[in-house]
Amino acid sequence: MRIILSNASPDPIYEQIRRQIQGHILKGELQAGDALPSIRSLAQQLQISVITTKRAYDELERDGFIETVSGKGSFVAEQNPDLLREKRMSLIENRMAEIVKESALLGLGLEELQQMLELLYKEV
Amino acid sequence: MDEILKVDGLCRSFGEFQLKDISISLPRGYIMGFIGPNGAGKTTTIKLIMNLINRDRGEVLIFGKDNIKNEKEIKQRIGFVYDENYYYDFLTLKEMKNIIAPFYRDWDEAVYQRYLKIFELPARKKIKDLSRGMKMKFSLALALSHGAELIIMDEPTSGLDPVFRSELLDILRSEIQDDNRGILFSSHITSDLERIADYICFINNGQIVFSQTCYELREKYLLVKGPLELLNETVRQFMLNVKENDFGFEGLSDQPEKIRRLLGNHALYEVPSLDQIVLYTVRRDKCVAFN
Amino acid sequence: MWPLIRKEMIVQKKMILFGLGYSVFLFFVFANPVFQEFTYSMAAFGIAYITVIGVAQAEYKNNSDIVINSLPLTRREVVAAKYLSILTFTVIALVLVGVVGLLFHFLLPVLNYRLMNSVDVFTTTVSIILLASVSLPIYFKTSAQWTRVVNVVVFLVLFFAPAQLAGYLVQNSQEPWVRSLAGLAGNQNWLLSLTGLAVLVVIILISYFISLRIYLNKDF
Repeated sequence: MRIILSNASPDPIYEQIRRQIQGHILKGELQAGDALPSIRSLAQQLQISVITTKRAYDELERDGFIETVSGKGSFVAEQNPDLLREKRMSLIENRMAEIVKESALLGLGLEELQQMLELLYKEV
Repeated sequence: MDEILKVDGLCRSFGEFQLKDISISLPRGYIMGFIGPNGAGKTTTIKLIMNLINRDRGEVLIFGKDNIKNEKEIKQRIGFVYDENYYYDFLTLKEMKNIIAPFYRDWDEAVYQRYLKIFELPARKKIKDLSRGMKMKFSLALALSHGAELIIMDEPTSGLDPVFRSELLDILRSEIQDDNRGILFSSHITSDLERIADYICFINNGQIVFSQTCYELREKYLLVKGPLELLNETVRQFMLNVKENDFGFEGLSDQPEKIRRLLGNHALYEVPSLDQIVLYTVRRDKCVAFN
Repeated sequence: MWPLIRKEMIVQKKMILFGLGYSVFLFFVFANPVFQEFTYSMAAFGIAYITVIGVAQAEYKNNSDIVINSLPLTRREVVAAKYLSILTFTVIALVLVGVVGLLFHFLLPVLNYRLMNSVDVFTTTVSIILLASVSLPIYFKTSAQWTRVVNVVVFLVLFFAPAQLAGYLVQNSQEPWVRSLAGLAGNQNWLLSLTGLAVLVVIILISYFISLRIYLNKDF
């Protein structure tokens, strides 16, 4: 598992961790049942506070990505395929929302945006 | 929540200086950074927690027990490190250890010897012949060798170089791997605490300004920079303190949402460092005093 | 409690060598018939004095109260241990002086020293306890600087008073009350000795409770 934290990022550290672990799960790099490092050892290795990793894990658990068994640690949760798809969809939605926001700042209209998207879609 | 340390409404006055209504809560398994300028009341608060000075009012619960009624039992489970060497400086490390060790029921000589090795401490040397950093390491070795659950440190890093400070943080990180422990760590060097403390407690003028988790803090305050034209009365209202120069302003706001809505993308926003939060808050107090 | 007394002894150990030198010095200086009677008690008292002051100063200089009171102890124990450690001092001082006297007796018979007797032990113990009873509350109240001043006064009084008293007693040796006092010193009147002991115990207790009160209210 790879986690790279940036101090320069406007996102809080727990959010960076949460997003990167979630990414690993969504991309299938982490399979259901895989053990995650303990909150404390992850904090030690990343040299950040325990409560920061705890918050990232809490949010992952709340979103159903991981499960925590007390005394045993945290594991990647069994993902329902439909649910997984839905989660990935919402991920895309979130990113698109960001793009829309950026575009609005630049004064880009919906049509221009659609054109851009079409071009990009064909390229891929 | 299982609190390893809970301070409630603690008061103590010394003539001019007053410690007012101090309340702190540290859950088991976490590190609290205790920050504030010199003379703000950090050491006094820690001394009250350790029952080294008498309180006027309030309560201190350690492991859920009153710190005075259960003083002996509680102190068996506390490891302490102070800002100065308060040991007998004419003794050797070994003699001093022989004085301290018998006080603790759970003294673990093997652990102590291990720390001596890690810290490269010369057991036969006299304490007064040690460097400041070495003295601190010696205090730390004594504090960590009796299975203490609560570790209380008052300015352990003051006057020490960055290499040692980072070593200390590594040690604390490995200590807190045991989620039964808790660490209270005072420092005016906030960068030491920035990446390790789970909770930050900020004291100024004998009063707690805030005591919360490190991520709540990042959301609570916002550093705003922008051109002077933006700086009208409304904006100032939402700022704790503003620094102006010929080219623009920089200020700290404790109402980030309002300020973002007000200034939109005309201003630059940053998450402030602890240092910046302390600086702006303390200065604000001083400005008020001058008016 | 025991670790505290042990602590006192480790710290005291550093001063004992000095005390030993001091007592050898005294045995040479006081090798005359008038002072000789008091050499044992004065030497032992001197050692105890030096150690008490030495420890007090060391603790003051190092701000030791902060560490001591952060250890698993109550303030009551800290005060009680201080008083008990005075007794361990006395014993150590007496043993040292006894041995030095023994060496003088056998190795330097010219100086004509007798061996230590029960009166020496008695006088020493009483004077050390008196010194401690006066100086400990002051020590707890103000720490070392004042204790030092007060101790010098008490020391001088206890140091010179016996000599003056001895001179006086020798001059008036025919007076009846001096005779009865001499009888007392010979431990013949048990009732009086016991009364003296009781007075001493009361003095210690009063001193202890004053010290305790002071220490309980102290800020470090």
